[in-house]
Amino acid sequence: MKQIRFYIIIFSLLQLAACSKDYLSKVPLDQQTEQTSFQTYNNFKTYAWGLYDLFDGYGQGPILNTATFLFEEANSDNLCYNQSLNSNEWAYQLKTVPSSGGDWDFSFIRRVNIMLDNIDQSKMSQKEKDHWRSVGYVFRSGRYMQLLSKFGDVPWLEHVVKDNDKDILYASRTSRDTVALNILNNLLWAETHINPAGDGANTVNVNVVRALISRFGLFEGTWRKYHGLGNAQQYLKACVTASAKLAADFPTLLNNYDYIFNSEDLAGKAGIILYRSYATGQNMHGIQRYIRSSEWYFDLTKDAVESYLCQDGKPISTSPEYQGDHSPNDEFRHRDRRLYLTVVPPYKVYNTTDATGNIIVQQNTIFWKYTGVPADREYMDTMALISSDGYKKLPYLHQVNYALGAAPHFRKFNGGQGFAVSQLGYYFYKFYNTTTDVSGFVNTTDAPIFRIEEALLNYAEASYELGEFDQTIADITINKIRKRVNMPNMVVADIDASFDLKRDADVAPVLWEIRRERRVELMGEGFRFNDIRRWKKGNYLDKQELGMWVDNSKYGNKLTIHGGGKEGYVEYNTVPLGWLEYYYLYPLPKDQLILNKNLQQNPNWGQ
Amino acid sequence: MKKTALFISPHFKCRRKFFLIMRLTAFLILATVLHVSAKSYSQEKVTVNFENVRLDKALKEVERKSSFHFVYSNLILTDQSKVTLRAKDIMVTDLVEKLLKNTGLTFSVMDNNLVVIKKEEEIIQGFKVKGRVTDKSNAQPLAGVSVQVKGSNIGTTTDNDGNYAIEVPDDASLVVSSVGYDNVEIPIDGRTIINISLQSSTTGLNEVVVIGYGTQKKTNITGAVSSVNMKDVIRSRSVTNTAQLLQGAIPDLQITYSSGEPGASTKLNIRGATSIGSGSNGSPLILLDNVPVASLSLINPQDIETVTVLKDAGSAAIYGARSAWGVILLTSKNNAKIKKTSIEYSNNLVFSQPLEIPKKATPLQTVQSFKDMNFVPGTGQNVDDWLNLLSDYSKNPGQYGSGYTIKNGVIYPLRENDVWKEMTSNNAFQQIHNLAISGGTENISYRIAGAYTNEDGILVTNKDSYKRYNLTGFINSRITPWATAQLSTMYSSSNKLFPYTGYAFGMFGSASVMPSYTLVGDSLINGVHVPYATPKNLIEKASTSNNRLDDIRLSGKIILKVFKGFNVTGEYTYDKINTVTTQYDKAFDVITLNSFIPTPTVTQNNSKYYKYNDFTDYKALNVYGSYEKKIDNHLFNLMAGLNQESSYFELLDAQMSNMINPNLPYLDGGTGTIQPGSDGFDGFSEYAVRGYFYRFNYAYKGKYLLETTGRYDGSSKFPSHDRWGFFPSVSAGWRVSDESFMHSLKPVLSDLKIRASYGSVGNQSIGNYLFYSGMATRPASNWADASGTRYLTLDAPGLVSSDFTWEKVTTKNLGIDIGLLNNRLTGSFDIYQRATKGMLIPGAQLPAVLGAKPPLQNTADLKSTGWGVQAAWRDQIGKVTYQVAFNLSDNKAVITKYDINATRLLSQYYVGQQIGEIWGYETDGFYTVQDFKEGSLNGSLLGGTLLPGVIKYKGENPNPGDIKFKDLNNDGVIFTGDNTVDNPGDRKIIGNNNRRYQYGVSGSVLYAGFDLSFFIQGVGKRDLYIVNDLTYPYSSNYGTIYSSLLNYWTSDNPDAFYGRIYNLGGGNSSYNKLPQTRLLLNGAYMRIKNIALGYSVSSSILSKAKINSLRFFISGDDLLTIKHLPKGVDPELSDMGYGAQYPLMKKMSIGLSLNF
Repeated sequence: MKQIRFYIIIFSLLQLAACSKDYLSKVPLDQQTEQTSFQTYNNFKTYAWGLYDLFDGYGQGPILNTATFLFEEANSDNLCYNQSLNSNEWAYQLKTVPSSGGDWDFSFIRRVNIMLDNIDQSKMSQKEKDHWRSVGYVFRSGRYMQLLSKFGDVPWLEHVVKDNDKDILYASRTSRDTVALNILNNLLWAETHINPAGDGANTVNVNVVRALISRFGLFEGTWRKYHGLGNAQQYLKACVTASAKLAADFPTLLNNYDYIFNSEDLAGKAGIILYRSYATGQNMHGIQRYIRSSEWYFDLTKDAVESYLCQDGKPISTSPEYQGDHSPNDEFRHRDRRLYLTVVPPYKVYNTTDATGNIIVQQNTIFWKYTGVPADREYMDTMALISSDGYKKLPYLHQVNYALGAAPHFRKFNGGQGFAVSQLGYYFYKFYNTTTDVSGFVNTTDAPIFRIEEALLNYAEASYELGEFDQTIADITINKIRKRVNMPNMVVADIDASFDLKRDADVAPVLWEIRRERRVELMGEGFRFNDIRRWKKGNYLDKQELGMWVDNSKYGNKLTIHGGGKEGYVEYNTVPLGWLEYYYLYPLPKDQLILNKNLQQNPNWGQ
Repeated sequence: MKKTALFISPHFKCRRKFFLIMRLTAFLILATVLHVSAKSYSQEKVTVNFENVRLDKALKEVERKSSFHFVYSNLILTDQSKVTLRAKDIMVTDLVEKLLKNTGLTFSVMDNNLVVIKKEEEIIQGFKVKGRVTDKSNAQPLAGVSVQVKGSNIGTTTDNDGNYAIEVPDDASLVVSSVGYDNVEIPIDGRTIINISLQSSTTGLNEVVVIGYGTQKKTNITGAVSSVNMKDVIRSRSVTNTAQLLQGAIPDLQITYSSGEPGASTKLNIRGATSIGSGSNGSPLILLDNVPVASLSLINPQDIETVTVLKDAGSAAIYGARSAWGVILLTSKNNAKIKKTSIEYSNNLVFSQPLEIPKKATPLQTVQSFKDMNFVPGTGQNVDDWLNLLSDYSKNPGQYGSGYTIKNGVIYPLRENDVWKEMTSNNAFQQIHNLAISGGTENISYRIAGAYTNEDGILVTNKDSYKRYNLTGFINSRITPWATAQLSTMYSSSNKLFPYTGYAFGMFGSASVMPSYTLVGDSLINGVHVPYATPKNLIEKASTSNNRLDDIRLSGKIILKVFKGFNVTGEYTYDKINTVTTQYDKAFDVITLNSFIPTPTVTQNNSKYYKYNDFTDYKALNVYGSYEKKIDNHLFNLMAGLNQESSYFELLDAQMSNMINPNLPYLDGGTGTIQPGSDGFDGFSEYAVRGYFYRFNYAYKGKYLLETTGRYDGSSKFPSHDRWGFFPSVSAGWRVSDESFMHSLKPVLSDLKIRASYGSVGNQSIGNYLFYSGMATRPASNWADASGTRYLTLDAPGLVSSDFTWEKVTTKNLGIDIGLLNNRLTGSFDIYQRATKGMLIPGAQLPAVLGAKPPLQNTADLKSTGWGVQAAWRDQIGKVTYQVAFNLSDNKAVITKYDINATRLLSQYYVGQQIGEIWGYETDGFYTVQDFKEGSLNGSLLGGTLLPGVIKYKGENPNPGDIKFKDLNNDGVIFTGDNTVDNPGDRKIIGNNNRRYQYGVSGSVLYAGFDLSFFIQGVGKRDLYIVNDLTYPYSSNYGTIYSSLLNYWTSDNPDAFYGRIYNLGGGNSSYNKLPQTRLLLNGAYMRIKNIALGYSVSSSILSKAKINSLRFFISGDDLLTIKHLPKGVDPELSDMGYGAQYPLMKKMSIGLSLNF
């Protein structure tokens, strides 16, 4: 049988093919697994870096929306976002039930819980285990604070949810009472169990835990008080306790208000508890680029500008220093310097033409000079005094250092300069500096996440709500903040019903001033909208946002004057439709209600 | 002159006919399946035992025992010539030589196994030859057949009875040709009567079609299989991409391509959507000579012989898990044939220009639109002043020589500049050269081919270009009578260049968004000419991205003839694919209308050089055997084998900034920090498949056909316990036309076959490790250490279902093949249903509390139905041969199961959804001033209060001129409802974006050396909802307005098409451009893909130069398109951002092909 040779060949070929049993077993060569990733202290550390995603800071790259705090603030009465008309969805009743999404998202909770659930089986000491449990609690609480604030009742997830955990997946929401208490208890546990120093510079440490307790305690405490939920005291007290410790541990404040927002490096800066670090080529944002372009659509409202005190410590309604608002120079004169560091003050320079309109320089060189009119340089001199090169000295410079001829600088009358344009006249420029790289969305100024000033303000407000606010507390909180911006002290005894004639009559005079200080100090940082919600003051959004008083003829009659006429307050958005009472809680997305019949929509949102 | 009455043996005509066909077919099957010259006729051996037999009887005996037949005159064989011969396994040729010894006769072997026997001393002069031409299959006379004397202009055609008469100058050969039949060359050999029967050509029914691991006679095919000869689709086209050539050539095969740029990628699809699950990214399995190819774009179409498309499970199941999207089989021109050395050269020189570029509104129209939307340009111009200046400019352009003016220190650009036109050139050049050398003897045959393609795109400069080199080699060696070894090699190298800059919107983005008043050229600033940031300048200044793809493929193959009818083939292929991509964002100064300060396009820190490098090792092994057995009228075929393939992929990706020398960027050449690419520095990916397959065929009398195939397939992409699957199929055919009761219809109905198939295949077109819950590392997006370096972190692992496995695709196919009027008209029709079961989708939709995407599970089903028809008419009128072919196909797919969306949310797939459907509102005109409370609108007609009862979109505060929608559900408000099918609010299905009724029409005419051909391709029906700068006025923040979009609402134009426009796409634009009936675009089109005219030089002239053939041609590609989309939007191409598309090129080419 000569054919035998064929069979041998075929047989050996088949053997060749079938030889490797593992031929079809392929696992990734560049991925870890849960079993390998949670063994040592450093394993946990590596995983935990990803949790810092919770803090948005100034956002990421060219997408301004990632700087969420700006848009959060624009929901409030502080900022007018003017890319398109009447875009505030709360004020103009545009908020609808989302079909999906709507921040009803528990992926971050799962991320933390994966770490928490792996602590017990790890090879760490009990102390190390406690530390990482504390860190996990901090991040989980941070996310739960957001969920609680928006939705009220939210499912509390102590452990990783599996796809067959039907009783959890299809449960009704955990009551706000329980969730809030869990957050508080987790944070208090973390405060005592965390490695006080954290994991090196700028990491979650005991101070961060306290800052979070301070923020959360005030939020939940006042929410409960003003929304009639009871048990506010516990939270307010926790806030006071944590804030007091922070106040003691951070006796010094950063002397320069502007540096908080415009420093390349916040490491070691006084009063900075945690910041998001940005670095060239690694992690960059676009805030400064946007501010110095034509695409920054944020103006302060007149209401916000008017909340700044005069330099005598009195509000504009009663201060003799206030000279009215019929000229920008008057309006800005003798005001809290934080206003100058937040809104571009009025000024004028020659940049392209001289007084007779002749072109004195080509458009291609950086150029400006004083007009010779004293009023035009009044605030330029002020800024030279309170700020420095690279920060908020005037004139304002475009992203390629092209000098802005004048402020206020209206979009509708921009004198050939499309950038840094405003609708209301109060161009919001708190994050403006000329030091960071703005050649693209590659800005690298660090973003504060927790700073002592907020804790002090929380301290003051919570103390007041507990009936404990007095001059002593004022001195270790508000007056410390004021001192570094050269404002006179708050004298509690002097504040009565006649202190501010424009006070919201519902709010007690001293509390009104505490809230004012908070509004001014934290202007544009994303706190105001939540403050309004917890104070149950949605009606603040019913006010029409107005701008500067202008003589329209000086602006080519291009501007829209409130109520018509040749002069008056500039307006952009029209009269709001008004806050709806059920807006205090956000709506749950429709798909979740359909998926889980035990889930109820927040009241009055409809299906 | 000696005249002898000659005729071809009647046996040859009748009795032998069947056997001949069978043998020929068998041979062709063998030759093609096994790539082996299994037995060439001259090698054929017989055993004889002649004992004083008459010579003619002896010859008949040889005819019976072999595949030879003899042609001779009865008169030359005298009765006396008797032979005695005994021989075992003697070669036929040797035998004949012995038989004719001392008879005064000699013989010669012709091409198609004819042995002509004649007298040695025969001398032939000019004389007249006549005869009759018949169809070999049915002996019917053939009319209009061309009969020509080889190498001369002498020729005639047959009359209606198939008779011809021709004067021949000397004893030459006759070339007999007719459409639908193989050309026959018959030596005259002194005969004056030559009756000829013609065999239906291989493009007809006897065509042998390549199928999985083998071939099949077309008549015996029972699955849904289409095939084309590559030479029929290449024609004279200046297209270098094999995929693009197939567009419109095969029904049910859809080819789409991403862009008109040189070397653009293509996407293939057979019969529409197969899956919407994880496997939805699949594409047809493309194999070249049994082994998958890395990229169709790397293959030189000139190296391809045939393309076969397997559409149903009946034909594709043999490829198991990878055939769900259909299979495309390519066969190379590497086949073992005895042929004399042949050198072929062809070229194609192409001149291209853009087919169509978009047209922007004029500066006046653009500035007017600013006024209409109350827009204040960021560059500071006063719109009213600008309008005045523009109207002044139009009257007196000379006054503004520079094209702009300065007023109040602000620049007012006035001149219209077309940046689109400026960035394209009108004379892009492309060249294609092909050279192939082939030849072969009994034992060794070879082919070596090389090709060079160099294509310059239509952007200014030659920075957009595509170059490709191909070199293929093939050698076939018959080691022993029972073993043949083959080696094929293929090397392809392509290099694609494209200008690259990360500046602003890039080149196409800039071209899209820059208004028509944009300043172009450069400006003298401080003594330096600084360019404006126009696309042309960006292209000229930018560096190029360079994409290199190299593919080396080595294939060895051994074919063993174990015993009669049983062959075994073993083949191993190693394929190495290497990609290198480099890209550099070079910094250079530009100025813009915003800023006349020269500014670098990118800072040093961000001026990055990227280098990406990957390779794939692909190894494939096939071992299979086939056995054929015929018992009386029963023919059995069994083929079975093993296939295993593995792929290993590895990449390296890095970037560097701050180049020391910007003109010489490399990773080590910068002073920045080396950084990983988007997915880290390196990555790996592996998969492997193994399958055991069989095919069993049974045919009874060639009329009743049955085939079953199956494959037991395993894949590394599934967890070990769900790794293996069995995918069987069965198909059957009935050749109705061969039934005796159909015989009377034969002259009209030449062929009729009904076939049906049913089968199941798997879909493994999913990610490699989806069953694995891994944690990827990445730099923490958020947190960095003191030095500014981001920490490394791990992502949370995803949820993984422990049991997920193949998506199964079941197809039912019913087809009919028909040939009419002697197969002048041929056609086929297929109707099918395909069910994809257990598509991998995120399991059950779970509440968000889960915090992760639900794990993948096999829980969705899809059903698609469709049909395809093709028809061709081939005929001859006098000396004019012509043919027209047509194909048309359609399909639609509906989701039949989708567990995770029980509530049928429209944001997801849902049960009952037809793939491609578009939900939208019904447009109901505009809001008017009368809809608002009197006095509530401001001077710009904004911010008004709607009168009670006027309907509006929930959450919208409309203004006059905004689009109104119909309240379809009569609830007094326009909204999305629950966003479910059952409560879609006021939306309904308004269209479908699937390509429906895709067709191709081709035709050609041949006359006296001239050939003219055309090819048309198109889509019959398609709805598109596209909102971009080219289709909607100010759809985006940065765009400008195009001339076709000026009909928007203003108070002066209340009957406009588009709604009111707002400050650069803001305001209520988002409502006005919601998907709605009014904004649906018609995506149907018809495109003349090619028209070519060729001339073949007469062989009588060429023979003197020892040239076999020479053809010149002139050809045009993409010459004319009928479409309904706005100018600059091509129905075939995808958006490059802001609506910009790299335009298709209109190409005119000339070329020649030469064979000697």
